[in-house]
Amino acid sequence: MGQIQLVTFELSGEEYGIDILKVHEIKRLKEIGITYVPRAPEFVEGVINLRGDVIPIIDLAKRFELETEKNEKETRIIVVKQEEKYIGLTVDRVNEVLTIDSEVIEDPPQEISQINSFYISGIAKYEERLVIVLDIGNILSPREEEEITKTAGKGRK
Amino acid sequence: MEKIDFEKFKKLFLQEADEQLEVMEKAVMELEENGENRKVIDEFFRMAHSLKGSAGSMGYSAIADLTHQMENVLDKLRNNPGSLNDDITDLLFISIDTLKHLRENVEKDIPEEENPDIQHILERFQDFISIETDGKKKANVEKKIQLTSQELKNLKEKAGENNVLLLCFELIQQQEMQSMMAFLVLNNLKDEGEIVKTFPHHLEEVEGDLPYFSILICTEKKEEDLVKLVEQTLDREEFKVFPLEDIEQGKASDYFQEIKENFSRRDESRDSIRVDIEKVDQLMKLVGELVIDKERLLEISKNIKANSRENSEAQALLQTIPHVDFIATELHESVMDIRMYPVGSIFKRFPRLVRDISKQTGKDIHLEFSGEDTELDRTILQEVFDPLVHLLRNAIDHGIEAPSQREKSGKPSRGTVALNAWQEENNIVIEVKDDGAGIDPEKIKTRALEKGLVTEAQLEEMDQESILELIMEPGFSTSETVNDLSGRGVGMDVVRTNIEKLDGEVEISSEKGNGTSIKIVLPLTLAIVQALMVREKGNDYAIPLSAIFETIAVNGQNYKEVIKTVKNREVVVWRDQVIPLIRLSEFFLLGDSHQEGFLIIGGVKGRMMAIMVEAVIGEQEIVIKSLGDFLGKDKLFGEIPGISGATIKGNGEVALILDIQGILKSFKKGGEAIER
Repeated sequence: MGQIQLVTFELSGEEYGIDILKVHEIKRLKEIGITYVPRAPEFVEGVINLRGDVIPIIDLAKRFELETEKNEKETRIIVVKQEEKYIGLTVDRVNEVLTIDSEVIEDPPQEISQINSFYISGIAKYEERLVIVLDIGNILSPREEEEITKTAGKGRK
Repeated sequence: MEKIDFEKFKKLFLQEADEQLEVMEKAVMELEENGENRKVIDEFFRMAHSLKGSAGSMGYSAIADLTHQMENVLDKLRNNPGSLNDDITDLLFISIDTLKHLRENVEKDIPEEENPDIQHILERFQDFISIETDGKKKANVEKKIQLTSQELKNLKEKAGENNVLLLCFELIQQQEMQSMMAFLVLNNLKDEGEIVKTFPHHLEEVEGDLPYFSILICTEKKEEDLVKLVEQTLDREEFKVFPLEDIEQGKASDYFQEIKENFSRRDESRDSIRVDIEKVDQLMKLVGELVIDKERLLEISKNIKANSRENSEAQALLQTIPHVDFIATELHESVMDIRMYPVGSIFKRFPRLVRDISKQTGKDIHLEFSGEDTELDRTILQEVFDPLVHLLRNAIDHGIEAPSQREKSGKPSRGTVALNAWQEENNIVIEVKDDGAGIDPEKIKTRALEKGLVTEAQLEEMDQESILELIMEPGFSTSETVNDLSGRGVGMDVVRTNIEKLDGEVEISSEKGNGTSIKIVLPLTLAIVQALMVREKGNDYAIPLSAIFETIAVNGQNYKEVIKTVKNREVVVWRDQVIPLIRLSEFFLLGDSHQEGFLIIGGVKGRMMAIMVEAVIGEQEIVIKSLGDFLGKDKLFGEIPGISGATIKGNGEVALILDIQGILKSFKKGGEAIER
C-alpha cells in the first residue's frame, strides 16, 4: 500500500495539502523583497529572486477568492516546482508534513470546500482532520478571462 | 592510447562535412556563375579530398566513392582548362545533394546498404573522365629543415652509433583525424628511440587540425624500419624522412618557416578550437551571475566608503572592488565576443537556395551581398535564418518579375536581390532588397478589407508605412496561388513574430514598380545590457539605454516650459518634435502621478515618447532574466504591455525591465495617438 507525504498548511481556516514531491522549499515572507508586477492579475503578488531565477509569488487566498487576514509573522511562501518552473505560493501558516496512506485520499466531492473544485485533486481524511489536497497544475494554469476583466476594472490602486 | 570514442569522431566528421559541403557548394555556384577558375577548382578539390579521406577512415564508403570520383573530375578540369560545361556543373550539384543526403544518413545511423544508389552518378563522372586524360604529375617539393647550430652540435654528439632522423608529416587527406594520427605516430615512435624535438612542441597535446608536424628522433633502428612502423598508421606519401646530414647541411630552405607559413595561410581559423555552444551559454550565465554580484559589491562599497575611512581592511577592499568591476566587464565582453558570428556564415547558404528558386520560377536572379563581416550574437543569428529564407523566397517569387515583363518595363531582364547587413548604433540591420515590381498599396488595401483585417475608416487614417505593414498581419497573404515556394503556410506574420521574439523589428519600404526593401532590425545581443534604473512608487524599473535619447529633470521651474497640453493630451516638445507624454504610474495603474520628476525620452526615430518617472537612480549593467514562462498570452501573468523581462538588482531584489516599444504600442492602441 503506497504512502504519500503532504505538506499541510492553513488558508482562511481550512487545511490544505500539497504533495511533498512538488515542494521545493518553504520561506518566510518577511525575508523576501517582493517586486510588484503592475497590471498582472490580482492574485500575483509579485516576483522574487530565487538564487538567480526570477519566480512569481502567488497569493493563494486571492487565487481561491477567499477572505483572509494575514498575520505576517506566520505567513510562509511555499515554493513549488511545476513543469520545470518554480513558483511561490503564500499561505497563512504551514502546519506539518503528514504521512498518510494514499488510499485515504478520496475524490473531491462537489461543494466540499469554499474553493473551486477545479483546484482540488482529492480529500484526505485523517484522524478527524480533513485535508484538501491541491492540484498544483491547475492552480498555475493561465489566468482566466474573468480575471482579466477584473484587473482591468480594478483601476488605480 | 585512450579508447577512441567513435561517437565523438562521428560528430566531428559531421561538423567537418557540413563545412566541406558548404565550401564545395559555393565553389560550384561560382564555377557556374563565373566560369572556370583555377583557384576555385583547387579549393573544391581540396574539400572533396578531405571529405574523401575522413569518410574513408570512418568507413562511410558511399561518400568516399563519390568524392573520389568528384576528385578525379576536378583533377581533369584542372589539367584541361576549358573543359568545364553545364553538364559537369549540374552533375556536381547533383553530387553535392547526394552527399548531403548521405551525410544525413550517417547522422541517423542508417546502414550503408540502405544508402541511395550512386552508381549512375559515378558512371556519368566516369564518362567525362574517360574522354581523354593527360598524365598528371604532382609536384613534389623537397622540404628540409634547419636547426640552430647549437642544436645540431648536441644532436651530433648524441648521434654516435644511433640514427638521427627527422620525420616530416603532411596530412592533408584526413582532416579531422590529424591530431589523433599525430598522437598515434608519436606514441609508436616513443618505443623506438628518444624523441628529441617535435614541431609543434607538445605534439601530443594538440587537438583538432594538425596538417603539418614533424618529429626528430634519435634511434638505434634503421630508417626503413622506422618507415615501416609509421606506415602502419599513415600512407607513405604522407611523410618524409630526412637523415641528420640533410639537416646538418641546411642547404635547403627552412622547412620550419615553410610550415609556419602554411599554417597561417591554410586556414584562418588555424588557432581555433571547437566548443559546444552549450558550454558558451553556461559561461555566459556564470558571467551574468558575476555581473550581478559585481553590482552588489559596488553598492556595498559606496556604504563602506562613507563609514570607514580609518579601517585599513575596508580601504583595501575598496581598492579591490574597482578591479573586480573592470575584470567582470572585460570578461563579459570577451564572452560576448565568443558568441559573435559574422552574418556571412548564414549568407553563404543562400546562393544555392536562390539558384534553385530561380530555376523553379523561371526567373533570372543575380544575388548580391554586402556587410558579410557584420557580427551578431550566434543565438540571434540562428533564429534569423528562417525568416531570411522566407524573405528571399518572397522577393524572388513575388517581387522580381518574369524576364519578359522586366524588359517591357525597361529593366534589365536579370533581376537583382541584395542581402545587406550593417550595424546601426546598438542594432544590426539585415536587409533583403529587390529591384522587382514593388508592393502595390491599393492591392494591400483591397486584400486587407476582404480579409476583414481593417475597416475603411482605419485605412483612411493609415500612412504608407502602416499600409505596407498590413502584409505582416496574420491571415494576410497576397499570393493568389499556393505553390511550393511562398505558399508554405509561413507568412510574413510568422517572420514578424519570430523577429519580435528576438526583440527586433521588421521595416518595410517599397515603391511600386521599383522594388521592395525589408529590413530586419535586431539588437546586438540579448543577455546583458546597459540600462538606466528609474524609480516609481517605491519600485525600480530598468530601461535599456539603447532605447533612451535623453533624460530631462522636471521641476516647478521648467514644468510649464517642457510639458504642454494639446487636445487634452499631455505632450513634450523635444528638439522641435511634439511627442506624447506617458506617466509611468498611470500607465501601470500605480496611482496618481506627480508634478516633479524625470522625463525619459525614448523610442525609435519617428516613434518617440517621454515617460515621466519619480527618480532616476543611475546607469548600470543588467542581466536580462526572461519572464517568458509567465508573461504572455495564455500564461500565468497574461500579456502585460510595457514589461519585457526582469533583472536582479545589486541588493538581490528583482527589478522589471521596461519595454519602450511595448508601452508606445499599447499607448497608440488605446487611441491616444498624438497629433501635432
